[in-house]
Amino acid sequence: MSKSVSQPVAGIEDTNPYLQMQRRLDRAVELLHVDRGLYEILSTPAQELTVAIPVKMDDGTVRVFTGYRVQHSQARGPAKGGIRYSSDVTLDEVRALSAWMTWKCAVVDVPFGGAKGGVICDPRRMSNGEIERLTRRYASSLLDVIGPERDVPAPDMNTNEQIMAWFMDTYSMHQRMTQTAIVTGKPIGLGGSRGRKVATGLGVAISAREACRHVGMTGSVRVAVQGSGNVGSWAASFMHGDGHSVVGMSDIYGALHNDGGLDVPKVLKHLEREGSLRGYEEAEWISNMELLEVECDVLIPAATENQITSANADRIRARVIVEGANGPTSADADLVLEDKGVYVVPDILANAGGVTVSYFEWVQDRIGYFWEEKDVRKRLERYMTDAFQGVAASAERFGCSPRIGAYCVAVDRVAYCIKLRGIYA
Amino acid sequence: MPDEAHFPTSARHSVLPEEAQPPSPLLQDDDPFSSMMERFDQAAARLGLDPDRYSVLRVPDREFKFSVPVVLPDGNIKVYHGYRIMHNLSLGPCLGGFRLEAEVNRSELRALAGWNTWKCAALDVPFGGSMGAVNFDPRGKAPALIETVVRRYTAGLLDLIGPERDVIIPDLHADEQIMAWMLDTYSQHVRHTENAVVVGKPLGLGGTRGRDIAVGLGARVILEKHLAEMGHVGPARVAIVGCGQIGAQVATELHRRGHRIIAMSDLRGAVRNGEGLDVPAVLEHRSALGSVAGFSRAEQLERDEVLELDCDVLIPAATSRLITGLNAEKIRARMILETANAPTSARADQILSERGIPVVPDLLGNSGSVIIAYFEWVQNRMGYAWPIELVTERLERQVLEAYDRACAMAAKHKIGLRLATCMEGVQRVAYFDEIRGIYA
Repeated sequence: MSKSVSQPVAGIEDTNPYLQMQRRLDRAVELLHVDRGLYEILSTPAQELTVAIPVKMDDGTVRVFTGYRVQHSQARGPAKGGIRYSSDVTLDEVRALSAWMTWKCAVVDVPFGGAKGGVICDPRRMSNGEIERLTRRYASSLLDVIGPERDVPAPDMNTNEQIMAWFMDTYSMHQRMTQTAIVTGKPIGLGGSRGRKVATGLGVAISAREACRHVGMTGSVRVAVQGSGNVGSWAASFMHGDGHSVVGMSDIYGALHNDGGLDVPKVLKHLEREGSLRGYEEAEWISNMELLEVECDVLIPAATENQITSANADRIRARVIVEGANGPTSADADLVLEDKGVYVVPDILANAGGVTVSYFEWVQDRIGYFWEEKDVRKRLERYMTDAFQGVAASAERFGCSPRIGAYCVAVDRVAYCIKLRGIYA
Repeated sequence: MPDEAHFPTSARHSVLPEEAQPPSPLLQDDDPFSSMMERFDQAAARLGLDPDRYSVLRVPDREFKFSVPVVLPDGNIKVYHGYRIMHNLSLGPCLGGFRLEAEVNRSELRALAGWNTWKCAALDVPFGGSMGAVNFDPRGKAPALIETVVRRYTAGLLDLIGPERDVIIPDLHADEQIMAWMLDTYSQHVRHTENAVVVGKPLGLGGTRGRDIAVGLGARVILEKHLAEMGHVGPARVAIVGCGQIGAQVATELHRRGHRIIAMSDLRGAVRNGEGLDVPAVLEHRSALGSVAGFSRAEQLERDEVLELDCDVLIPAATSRLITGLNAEKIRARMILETANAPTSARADQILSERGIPVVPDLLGNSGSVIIAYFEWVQNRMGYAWPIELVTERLERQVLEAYDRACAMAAKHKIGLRLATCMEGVQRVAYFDEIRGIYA
């Protein structure tokens, strides 16, 4: 497989999510000797639906929103992926994220393909009623392509449990029966799974532990966590709870830094009370970018994409990076970090705890029996460690970074299914 | 009883000449959807369309893109891209073409889907508009590969198409054989024969009688009515540009009714006979020699001279953009009847209107093709085939009613038939959209 298929633009750092994904896919495809035709299938979303969503607004007027649902692959099972509401949504982004979901599900070996959905809207400027009507109409426009056995949405940027509940209700009304397995990320008691809230953060912490063991770091390590949303705050809590020293945490306004280690529960209480980390006293206040460069063993970027680029990659001092966010490291930065010998646990592995527990939620909905939280955590632990070992072995086998190793695991699993299933018609 | 049409020979595999099927217009703008919408905007403005209705109608309801992977004869895999755009779902199932072309222009598909919505509504055909394509040019390809692509394309659309959801008609490079494969693939999946999912099928497989004469018949009845309203008595003197499937149909029908076809042309030349051409003889000459040029009982003309002849009716039946600002001044016909899609540019429209030459727009002039598609669907649903007399009688009535509604709209707003027909369509769609309301 030649590299030329992705046509990366020389000299310009790609932040286009689709191209970023494509570059890594290309490396994996090359190592695996996937043939041209199979490559075309892997790099083309199977289905893309664009829908017009007319919504009656509170002032009586009608606004027409645009919604997307892209199903990248259903070779391994139903497609799985979140729905985001944002004015920045583009079809290209949704496409890239849908492919990402295919690889992520395959890395942790849950029997799903990848999908993603999005609606171009600004939910902060919409009332609850408007968001509900938007959600219901969007759900009904997707009825032809979704279903527990076909495509299972989940919350993503600006969507939450309530929106999933509306989505589930709309689908169920059309089915004339309650069908909870149509979405994941539902509230507990309405088909939601215990342990979902902590899932991604816990998965990150498990990945960090495995990575430290893998590079031979034992005992307490120093951790910096960028971002204190659901992923970052839980990752910090678990790391702190396991006896590690969390030397830095951040939110969108800036970062806390304390070389001696932060009292994570106390920081989180401050965050809850104040709505920001700012003003927490037992630490110095630095910028988010400075946080990435602090002296630490493990860096967990858990905020947003494109944080570590070729501009700052050479100043990273951590030995291990665990990507809690999606795409925090650019493809160019990857090369710098690889040269420096930084062990990067890639997003498609590190933050796959979320989709794994989503899978557990789907399983529980299908059997109609709900697991205790300790069972959820125990099973998540097994999925994450197995996935980590698989990726490490693959990286070793192909002599590549864990990221490309993860892509190799994923692409190999998906390609295997496509080959076995063959091409219909 | 069985005639040729019942049993298409294997030689017919979709490598028909381009003009064998009347494709929707090939729009050449950078953004065909915007151009199409300009006319919609005009219609909406004149109708005083409510802004809410306007915003809903302005965008396609659904756009679907999907991958069409196929195994090539050499064992390699190739992924084509399939598209289906459904513009409006509020009037009934969608109806729209399926094209096979190397380069698919998504904006063009949107434009055509929207255009089909207004067209069906103006003709009182209970469908919304849609359009689909696959980026595969079947010309010169092995029939087995064409079949594979068409079947996989159809399988990719199973969630969206169906007799009550979206009905597919042949467009560029799609023929009876391709429609039959689509029908078969869909039917295999629903586990019963469902021929109403596609139209333009061979007779005997759910095709309708009269499909080969529908456009000619519709054009003829409008022509006669329009001329009568202009005070014309007796047979008309008609010049026809284009001699493909549509042009030949129109010429045959008018000739059969006793009108005088004084000139016909095709890509390679033109012939003229002031007394009226012997149309069957001209067509025979053309099918033997490939062109009307050289037909003996006529005067030979340059191709473009036909446009400038003194006649009662000029019928552009070939390509789009035939009549433009460059030649509109030279037209000497008393009226123009468009059976090709979009043969008249906006500038030419304006000139013709200033010169008092009425134009019957394509939407009415070739309305027979949509109405006959609708009739095919109706007959498939009831499982009973109409005799030809019933088809022609109903077709004539439906065409004339559409024409009369457009004329009434034109008179009411003191505008040309083109805008009036579009307004008629838009008004109807807006009305049904409004009373159905917004779900959820």
